[in-house]
Amino acid sequence: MKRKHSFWYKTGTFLGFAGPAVFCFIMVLMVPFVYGLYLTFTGWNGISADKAFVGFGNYVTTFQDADFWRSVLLTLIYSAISVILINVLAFLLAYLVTSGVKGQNFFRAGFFTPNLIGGLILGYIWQFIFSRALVSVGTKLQIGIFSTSWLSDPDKALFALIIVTVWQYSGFMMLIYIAGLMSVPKDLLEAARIDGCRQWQCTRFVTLPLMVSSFVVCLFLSITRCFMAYDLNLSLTDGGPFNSTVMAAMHVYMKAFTTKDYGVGQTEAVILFVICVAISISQVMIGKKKEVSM
Amino acid sequence: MKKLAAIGLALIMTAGLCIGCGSKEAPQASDPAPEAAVKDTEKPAGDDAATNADAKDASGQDTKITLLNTKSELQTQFEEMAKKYQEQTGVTVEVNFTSDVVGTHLAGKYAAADPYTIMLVDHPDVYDFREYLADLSGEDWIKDGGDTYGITIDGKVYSFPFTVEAVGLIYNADAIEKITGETFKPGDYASIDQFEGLLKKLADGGMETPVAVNKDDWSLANHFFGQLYDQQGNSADGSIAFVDSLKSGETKLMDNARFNSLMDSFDLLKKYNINGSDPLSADYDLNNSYLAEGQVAFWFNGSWATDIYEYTENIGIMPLPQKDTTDDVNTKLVSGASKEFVIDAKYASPEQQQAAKDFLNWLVYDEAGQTFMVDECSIIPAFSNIEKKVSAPLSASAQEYINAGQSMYWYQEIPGDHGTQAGASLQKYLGGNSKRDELASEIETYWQAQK
Repeated sequence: MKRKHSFWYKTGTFLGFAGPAVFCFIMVLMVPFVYGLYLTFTGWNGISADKAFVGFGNYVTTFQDADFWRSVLLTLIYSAISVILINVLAFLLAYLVTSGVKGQNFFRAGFFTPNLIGGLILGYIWQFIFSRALVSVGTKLQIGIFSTSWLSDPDKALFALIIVTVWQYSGFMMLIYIAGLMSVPKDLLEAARIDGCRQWQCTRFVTLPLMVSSFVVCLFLSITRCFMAYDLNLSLTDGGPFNSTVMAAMHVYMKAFTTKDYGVGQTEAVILFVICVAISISQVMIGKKKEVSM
Repeated sequence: MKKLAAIGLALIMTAGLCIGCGSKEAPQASDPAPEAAVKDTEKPAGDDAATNADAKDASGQDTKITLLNTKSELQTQFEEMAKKYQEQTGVTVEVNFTSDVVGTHLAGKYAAADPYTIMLVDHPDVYDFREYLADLSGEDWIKDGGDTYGITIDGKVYSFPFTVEAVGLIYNADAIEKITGETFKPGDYASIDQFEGLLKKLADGGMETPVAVNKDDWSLANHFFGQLYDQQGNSADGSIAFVDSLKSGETKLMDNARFNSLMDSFDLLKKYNINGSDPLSADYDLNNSYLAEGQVAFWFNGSWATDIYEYTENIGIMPLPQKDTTDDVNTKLVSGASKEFVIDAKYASPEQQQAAKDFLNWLVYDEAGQTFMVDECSIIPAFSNIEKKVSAPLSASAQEYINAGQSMYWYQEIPGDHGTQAGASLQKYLGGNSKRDELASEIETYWQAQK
């Protein structure tokens, strides 16, 4: 019996079960991360074998890079609008397909489908819709807003990105909300109804508080995904028109690989990481406080 | 007993895992081929350790080299060539393809210490990757044109010019002749006034918008606007001096005759653009089909646009008509080697490097190699010893200019982000979101920020 509590026994058990996962995690996440941190202190161009040490020079350059901060601001706007729309829509859809409408399983599958298409392909499909399909409908039916491609106007292009993002992710978030809605015990709802709650009161005071954890998860997922958006950005607008929709991840990529300023690109990636972590952690902390335990 | 059996099974499975990893890594360590699996299928199982690179090279026959093709339209031709080359010489050429930006793709490959033996790269890549590349100065083909079109850095030639291409205005003569009723001779429309007259005539004759303008940043910035850097005295020195004067801020574009002349021509193309109502939604493939089907008569692009021939072969390429005709810019076609072969010297074994050099010689001096380049790929060869004529209309049309001495130096050392940065400024101008002076100052700012 005593053996089971010894340090070596515990370590052995841990390694036996979690070892492979820990190994993979360290190799594909921790090692590149630390190496990436090291690269922020070099003036590497991404190609050369020679990585000159430049100290904090890249951080200074990053803080002076107006284009980077513009792209971060754009990402913030894009993420804020997308996250709100994704979650509102996802919750409404989840509510709808758990309320017992006819063919709700079919709808569940249908709303989830966009999520199964990769971001790149999805971007190309929507590019066609925005710049060809809608335009030809718009010109035929004289609808002013669709007569020119949304993707050739900076503001409309951003909204095009948001629309596609919402369309893509709301189905996925809907699944999580469905799980949340289903997990609310029926007896609680019944008790509330007997106590005289109307339908919306049941939802507002019983269902919602009991599924805060779903909201925390969904917000977390949608925030991180929006912040790191790259594939859709690339295939739908490619940063255009005239670089007005270059979001942070794309700016980092362009800095590192197109301008061949790998050190600066890596530094900007680290800054983006810090911003992302700060936002996600505070969101999760605030969300957790609101959770109700049963 | 059960416990023992369980442990035994677990051990066997773990061992299986280790063996799986081991045999996968073995060929990769000895052979820098990225797709070792392809090779493995041809060999009996368990033979990997014995067939490492050294053992093969000892026989001198089984050398395997890898090649990176970056021209999507030539991938089939490359694969067939590799088969023939193996039959002829016994050297296996494994053809790979990427549609990625070449420099980016190779940066990844070099970071993984796993590049190709021969790589078909763009002009600036040769400069970026030179520390890894083999010095080709001693090769035979240098004297036959390799020193003119290949890239020389610090007195050493690092690249093999694979294809000469031209940038200019592609025309569909069928479409023009249908409206004008007379044979189209590009030489008659070299001045901008004559050209404008023709566009008007076409517009009156029913083709309301006879020009297709790309919105792609590389086309706008590196090719169209790039003419500003090309057309500086028709020499590398002239272009470099001009770009340097942009970097130092000495040249003011708004006072520059060449800039204004070029943008006047751009305005003219813009005016007759088929995508005019929404120029930034232009689509490269659609522009291609507009020209092929004769919906437009002109498309500013380059001699690589070869998907047109199934509709008409009566097409060609001509220099952009301009107002300012110093250096005969309106009659000389911008052309140069746009894709270059380079050989890796860091990770490829000496045998592989030699095999790669032999391959390049085969392209230039062997009948089959010449056939591959000129007949199958329809490219204009950079070598004077090759007497074959290209049959593909666009390349043939460009070759006429080159053979007649009417070619203009193509400056290709522009930085990698010129396409995205200057391209964005030009897109803004194309979309009517900025004026010429704003464009000029944005381009000046871009260059002044370059080191």
